[in-house]
Amino acid sequence: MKMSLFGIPDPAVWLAYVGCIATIAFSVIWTIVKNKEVPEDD
Amino acid sequence: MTEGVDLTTFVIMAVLFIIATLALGYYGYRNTRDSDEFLLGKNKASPVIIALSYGATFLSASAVIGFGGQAAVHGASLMWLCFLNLALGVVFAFIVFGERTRKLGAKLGASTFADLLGKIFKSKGIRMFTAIIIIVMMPIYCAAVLKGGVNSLAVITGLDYNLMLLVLSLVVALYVVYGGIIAVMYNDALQALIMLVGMVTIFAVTIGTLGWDAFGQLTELTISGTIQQTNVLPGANGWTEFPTIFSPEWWTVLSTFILGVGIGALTQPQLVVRFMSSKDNRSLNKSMIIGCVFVFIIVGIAYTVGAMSNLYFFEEYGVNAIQHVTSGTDFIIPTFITDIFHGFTFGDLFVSLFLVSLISASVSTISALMHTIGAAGGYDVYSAYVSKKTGKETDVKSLGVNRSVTMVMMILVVLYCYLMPSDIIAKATSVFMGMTAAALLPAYAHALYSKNPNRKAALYSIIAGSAVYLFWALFVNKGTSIFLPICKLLTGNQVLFDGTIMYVDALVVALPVSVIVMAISILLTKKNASVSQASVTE
Repeated sequence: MKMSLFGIPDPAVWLAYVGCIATIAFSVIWTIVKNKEVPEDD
Repeated sequence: MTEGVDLTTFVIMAVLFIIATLALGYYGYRNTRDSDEFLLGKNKASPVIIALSYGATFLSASAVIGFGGQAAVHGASLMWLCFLNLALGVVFAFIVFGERTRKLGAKLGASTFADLLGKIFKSKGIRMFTAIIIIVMMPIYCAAVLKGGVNSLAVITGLDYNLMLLVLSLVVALYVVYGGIIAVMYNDALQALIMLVGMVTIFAVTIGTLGWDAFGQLTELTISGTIQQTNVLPGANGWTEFPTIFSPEWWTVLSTFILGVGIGALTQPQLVVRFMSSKDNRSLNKSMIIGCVFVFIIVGIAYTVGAMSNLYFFEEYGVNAIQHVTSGTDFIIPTFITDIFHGFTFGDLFVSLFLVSLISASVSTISALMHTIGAAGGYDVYSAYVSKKTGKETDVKSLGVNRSVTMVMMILVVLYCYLMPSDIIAKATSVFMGMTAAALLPAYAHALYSKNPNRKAALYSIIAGSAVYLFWALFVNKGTSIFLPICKLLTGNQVLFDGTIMYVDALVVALPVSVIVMAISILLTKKNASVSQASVTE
C-alpha cells in the first residue's frame, strides 16, 4: 500500500515536496560549512 | 471578471508601487556614474538584495499565473519543477556555476554573460553569437512576460490593456535606462518582498477555506469519479498522481514543464550577471539560502494552490478549474483568487495586493531582461562594431549607448506584444529557457571548468544545440510548433511525425546533442594535437 503525505497518495508526487525541504536544508548546511572555510573577500 | 476587484484600492496601491519603483530608480541613477556601474554595479548589493533579485528575476508572472494555471490542469506533479528550480536553478547554479563565474568574471574583467564566454574562449565569434541569441530570443520571452502580465491585469481589473502596457513599459524603461543594474536589483528586492506577502496570504486563505486535507479530498473525489481531470493528454491520473510513464501526458509534464524550465534556468544570462555582481563567495552562499526559501515559497504556493483550486471550483460550481475558467489556463489563478477573497474582510485589499504582486513579478523579470538585452546590444555588439571599424580589439563601455539601446529594445518589446498570440506565457518561458540551455549550457560549463577551454568545441556545441532545438521546436514538437508555423507552411501538417514523439520537448533532444558534439570536438582536437605533436617530434 502506498504511503500518503499531505493527502497526496502518490510518492512520485509528494517526494517533490520532501525534495524541496531537503534542498533548503542542504543549502543552509553548505553555507555554514563553506563560510567557515572561505576567508572574507576571497 | 472585474467582480471582486475594488478599482480605487487597486489604483491607490499601484500608484504607491510606481512611486516606490521610481524612487529606487532614482537611487540607482544617483549611484550609476559609469558603464561599469550600469552593467554590474559591483559591490553595491548585499547578499539579501542579490538573493531577492535573483529570485524575483528568475520567477516572473509566468511562475505564478502561467505555471500555477498549468498545475491546475496537470496537477501537483508540477511540484517537481519547484524542486528543480531549487535544486538546479538555485543550489546547483550558485555552487557549481556561481562561485567560478564570479571569480572568472572578476579576473577577466567581464561585464556580461556574452563577454565572459568570449573572454574565456578568446573568441569574438562566441561573444557575438551569444549576444545575438540574447538580442533575438530574449525580446520574445520579455514580450511574452509583459503581455501575459498586462493581459491578466486588464482582464481582472477591466482597465484598458493599451494604457496598462504603456504605463508599465514606461516605468520599466525609465528605471532600467537611468538606474542600470543598481535600480534593477533594488527594485527586484522590493518586488520580491511584495510577492512574498501576496503569496503567503493567498496560501493562508486557501488552506483556511479548503483545509489542510484539500489534496486528500481531491484524491477521494477523483478516485470515486465525482470530479474528472479534463484538458489533459492520455496518461493523466488525476491531480495528485504522476502521469503514467511514457504516456503523452507524462512526456508533456516531464519534458516540457519540468525539464525544459528546470534545466533552462541554469544558463539565463540575466541570472549569471547576479553572480558577477556579488562581492565574494561568502555573500554568494548567503544569497543561496535566501534564494532557496524565496523560490520555494513563491513557486511551491503557486503550484499547490493551482492544483487545489480544482477542489474549490468543484465545491462552488460543480466543475474543475479549467471547466470553470474557459478563457484559458493563465486566468485560473487570478479567477480563483478574486473568487476566494470575495466576502472576506479586507478581501478587496488582498485582491489588490495579489494584483500588485503580479505586477511585481512581471516587472522584476522584464527589467532584468531589458537590462541584459541592452547590455548585449550596447556593450557586446557595439564593442564588436567599434573594434571592426577601428581595426583594434577593444571593449567600449559607453553609458549613453547602453541607455539608448535599452530604450530602443524596450520599444521593440512593446511592438512584439501586439504581434504575439495570447495565453502563451508558460510555453514561451519554456521555449526561451530550453533554447538557451541547449545552446549554451555545455559551453558555459566547459568554460568554467576546463583548464584549456576549447574554442572550436564550444562554437560547434552552441551551433548544434541551437540548430537542433529550433528544428525540433518548429517541426517536431506539437506544443511549440504553433509559435512559428513554418512546418505547416512547408508541408501542410503542423508537425512532421505523428505519435508520442510530438510531445517530446526539444530540450530533451537538443541538450544531449549539444553535449555530444562538444565531447566529440574536444576528443578530435586532442587527437589532432597529439598527431601534430608526434609529427613534430619525428
